[in-house]
Amino acid sequence: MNNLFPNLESAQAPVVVRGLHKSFGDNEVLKGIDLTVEQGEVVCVIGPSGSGKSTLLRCLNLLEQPTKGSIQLLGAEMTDPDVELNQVRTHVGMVFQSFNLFPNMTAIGNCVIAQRQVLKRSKAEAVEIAKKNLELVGLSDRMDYYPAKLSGGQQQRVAIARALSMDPRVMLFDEPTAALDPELVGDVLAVMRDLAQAGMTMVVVTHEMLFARDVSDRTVFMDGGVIVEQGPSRDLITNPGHERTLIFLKRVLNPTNVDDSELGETEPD
Amino acid sequence: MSVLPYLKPTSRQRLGRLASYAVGVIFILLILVFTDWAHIQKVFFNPEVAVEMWPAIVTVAMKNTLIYTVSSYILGSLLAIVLAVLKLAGGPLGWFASAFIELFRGIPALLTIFSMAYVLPIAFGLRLPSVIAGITALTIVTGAYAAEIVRAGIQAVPSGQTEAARSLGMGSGQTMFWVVLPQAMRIVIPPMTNEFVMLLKDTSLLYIGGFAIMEKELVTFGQDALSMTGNATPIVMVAIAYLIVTLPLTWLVGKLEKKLDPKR
Repeated sequence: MNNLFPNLESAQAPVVVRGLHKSFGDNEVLKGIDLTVEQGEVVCVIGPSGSGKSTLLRCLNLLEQPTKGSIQLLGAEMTDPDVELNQVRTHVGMVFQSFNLFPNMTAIGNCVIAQRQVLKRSKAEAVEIAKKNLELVGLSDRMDYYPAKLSGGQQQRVAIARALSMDPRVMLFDEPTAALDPELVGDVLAVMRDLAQAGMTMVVVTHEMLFARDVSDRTVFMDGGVIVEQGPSRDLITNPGHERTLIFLKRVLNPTNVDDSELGETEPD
Repeated sequence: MSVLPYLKPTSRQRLGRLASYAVGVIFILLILVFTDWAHIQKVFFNPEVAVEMWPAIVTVAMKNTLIYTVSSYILGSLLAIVLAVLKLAGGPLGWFASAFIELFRGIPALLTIFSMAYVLPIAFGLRLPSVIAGITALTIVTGAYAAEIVRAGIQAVPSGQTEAARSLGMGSGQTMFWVVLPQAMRIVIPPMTNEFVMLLKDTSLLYIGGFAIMEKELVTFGQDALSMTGNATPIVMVAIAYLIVTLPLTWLVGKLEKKLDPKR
């Protein structure tokens, strides 16, 4: 098994994507993506809906099968059919827009199940780790609640604790706050900020421009299945180099102030 | 502008309802007047015949019906889960599962029971005790029908559940067993309870395989009592015995459907 992870402990960047293409039928969603994420780096991926940013994230741990290209995650070539995907995924946490908590298990049950089944931890150890992580996301008083009894923000924080309980080396976030009521977004972002400051390697697909600007090291702007530009977050968001980035940021940051020249071109969202 | 005495739709409805009530009342009165009640009572509700059937109708017939039902239900449900998982997994085994399901859903249950009891012995010299053959046949039939229920239940579990489990590193088998199946089981509780009611009634088909005296289930028992006494009371009692089990279950299904409908 070890030879499948030749670079697991090496200095190579945990995420290296080369020439990634993904088509759904005739619809090419990703048209050649190159992206490297360094150890401890926090990268935000922004862009209009349909730009392929979620597909890119889902390709990383092979929830979507890429059409072409190479994805190296923790040194393992994910597109190689001989790579044991489960083993790589164990070390890569994923947080979904719709939380995807297991409704038949309590909050702590959600955090324990994969530790027991995949990492084969003892029950006591798994429970202890789950408790520690639920505490970390501020839910030590909700451990025995079923997901249906938790708010969206609480569910998403349980989902983060569930991923953290596997001791991931990389965390992938797929629009983690997009399904939340506005007043619940802050709690989730605060947990993610703490995580980033603790040195976790993170790839975050998001519409939260302020989070991208203030928390992430680098921001990637995608449109039409390609990376239009990327750079240090503060630079890119406050002073974008491309017109497409500029138009997108203008719309997102100031949705009611539509420029006259754009009227009639696009339908309001 | 005409001033004809139009009736409002609601008034017209009320008149129509009144008329149908009147017809019903007259009909019932006619039946009450012209029926020979003494005869009805003697043929269908004869206390002497009823006493004679007691307690065997419960200790033998109903007990056997329940034993046949519960054992084929448990075995059939397990078979159904295996068939559904295989079918969804695809490949040669999935193809086999599909063929099995279609075959036994496509032919009458009676034919399956008949084959178990008579065709197997003729073809392969395999003669199972009639009760075992019957339960095996009902297990197969239930498995085939319930497999489609379970398959629909599995597919009703949102794909995000599988994605979440797989991205935690769980294998496809672990994901199915720990995440998908428990949720699918919840979803299929109402239709599977219906399946139990159907099966309970289908155990009456086992008569075709032949029973020893102590193996008789409700319908065979009632039939024998009918031919021995020449009286219809046993049939009424058998019907009541079925209803004692099926009515609460049907009521329970309605309850469960309401309770399980909203997302927990």
